[in-house]
Amino acid sequence: MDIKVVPKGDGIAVAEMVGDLNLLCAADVRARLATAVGDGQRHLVVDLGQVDFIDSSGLGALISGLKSARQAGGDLRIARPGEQARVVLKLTTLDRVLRPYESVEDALEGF
Amino acid sequence: MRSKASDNRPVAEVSATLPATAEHLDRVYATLSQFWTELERSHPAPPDGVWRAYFDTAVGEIVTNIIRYAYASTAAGGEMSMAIQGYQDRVEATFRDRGGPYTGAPITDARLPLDSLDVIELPEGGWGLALTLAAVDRLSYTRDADVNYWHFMKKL
Amino acid sequence: MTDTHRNFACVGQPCELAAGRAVFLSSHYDDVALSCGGTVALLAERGPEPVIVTIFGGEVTDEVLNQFARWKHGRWGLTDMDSVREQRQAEDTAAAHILRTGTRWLGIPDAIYRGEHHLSDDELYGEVQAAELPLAQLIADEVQALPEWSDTSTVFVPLGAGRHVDHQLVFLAGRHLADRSVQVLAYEDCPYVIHTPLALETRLAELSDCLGAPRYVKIASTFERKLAAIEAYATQVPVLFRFTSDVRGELTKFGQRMAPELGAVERFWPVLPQAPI
Repeated sequence: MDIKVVPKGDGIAVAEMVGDLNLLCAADVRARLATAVGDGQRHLVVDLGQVDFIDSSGLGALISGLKSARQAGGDLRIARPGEQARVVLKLTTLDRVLRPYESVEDALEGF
Repeated sequence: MRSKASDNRPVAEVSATLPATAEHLDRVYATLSQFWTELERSHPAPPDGVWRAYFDTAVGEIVTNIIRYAYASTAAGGEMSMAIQGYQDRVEATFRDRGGPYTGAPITDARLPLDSLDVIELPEGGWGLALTLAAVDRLSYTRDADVNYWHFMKKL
Repeated sequence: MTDTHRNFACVGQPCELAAGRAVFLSSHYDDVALSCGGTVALLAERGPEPVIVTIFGGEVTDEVLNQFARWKHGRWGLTDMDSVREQRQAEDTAAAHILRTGTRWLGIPDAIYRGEHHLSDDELYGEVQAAELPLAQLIADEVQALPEWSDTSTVFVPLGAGRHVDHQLVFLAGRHLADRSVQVLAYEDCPYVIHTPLALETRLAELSDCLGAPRYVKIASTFERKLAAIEAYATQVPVLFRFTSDVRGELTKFGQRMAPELGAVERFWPVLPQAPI
């Protein structure tokens, strides 16, 4: 899993992820999101457009990022979830807090 | 006229044996991919992407469970095997490993993190089995002569 | 984990972690049992009877119910507040009995009832508002005015991991006490750190200037009593642990995470006085 955090100014950043968000990289994702928030990027958009598979470990890392962002007065949104990501979010009803957006632009709006 | 016997033979089948480590999850996804390709070729009404996503999710969670816990107490680690079989009316997956027994809560007690409005209280994991249960129609675990068997089935 | 081997406390008798009477400050009912019940029970065995002081949890009348509080009540399914408070205090008394400690309630209203200050979850878990800071001094004064207080008392306060404002205020009270030359130790706030492991790291980083190296206490001998005390909070446990069906298992796993071969362990960080200007 490759992650690139791209700051957009005003404490906003897009975390672009490529690969599978699973047990192998969950700890790393958790750490990277926490670092981003610690660096002042508390409004995060996680771009899942190039993520093929997400499991409960990966989702847990996103939840951790959401908590960090919220505690810093910000928020975390996800953009472009694939079919399998949507299934996981729906089954866990976590789509109520990890709001999925159709595009990164939509997710950035209102931040 | 379709004979009953044909319902008991899989129309598509793949299997793989691999080290039970997170680094080998790629092989699990590749095996799944291979299975869907075969099923597409041989099944009269193969499932759509959403259906497959449910099944794939369940496979990922069971494999992750095995990777995390089966060989946790042995330094050497171990292997696991997976077999997926597609039938006219269902798809089944079976996983085997020679690790320690599963000692978690009963499968039927597994809970999903529903009621997610209190973000600070959300768990950050521990719902793999609950997710699997929600994604398929039947899930079971048995242990026989030092071998763990996880099995699930999803109706088409 | 080399420092666990260097910094074990309560290895002998009396327990040197708290030579005098131990005063455990609990922001809300059940915090201390959840977070450090094992150490409480150990100290009760080895020395003078500790006391658990619950800071918040005062009376609630209709006047103080703002919109946010009403919304929270709705989510928690609460209707009759007086009987809720009685129930909570009865649970608290039962837990204290199991741990063999005394118990006191200061009765300051919870954050969600304190007027216009805390109107959303973001504010409940955010920065402590300037207008509320005097509460920390008040809490420190009240602690030193307790009948159980003595000059050799050790005070245990929550770290504030998870950043609930009530927890942060009690931590700040701990800092005031440290400035008054009291020995103060901070415990990791459960269940926050159980559900949100990063919350501890974040809080430790935030407080790095005012905490000493952690001290560890092996609580294997009192772990069962800790679990029983937690279970005494019969209305709270199903809510706090609503995502698991195996509360004991989860608490055991959490308690043993630092050094499984040693059984359950609790840890505390010394709260340092502010350097004189």
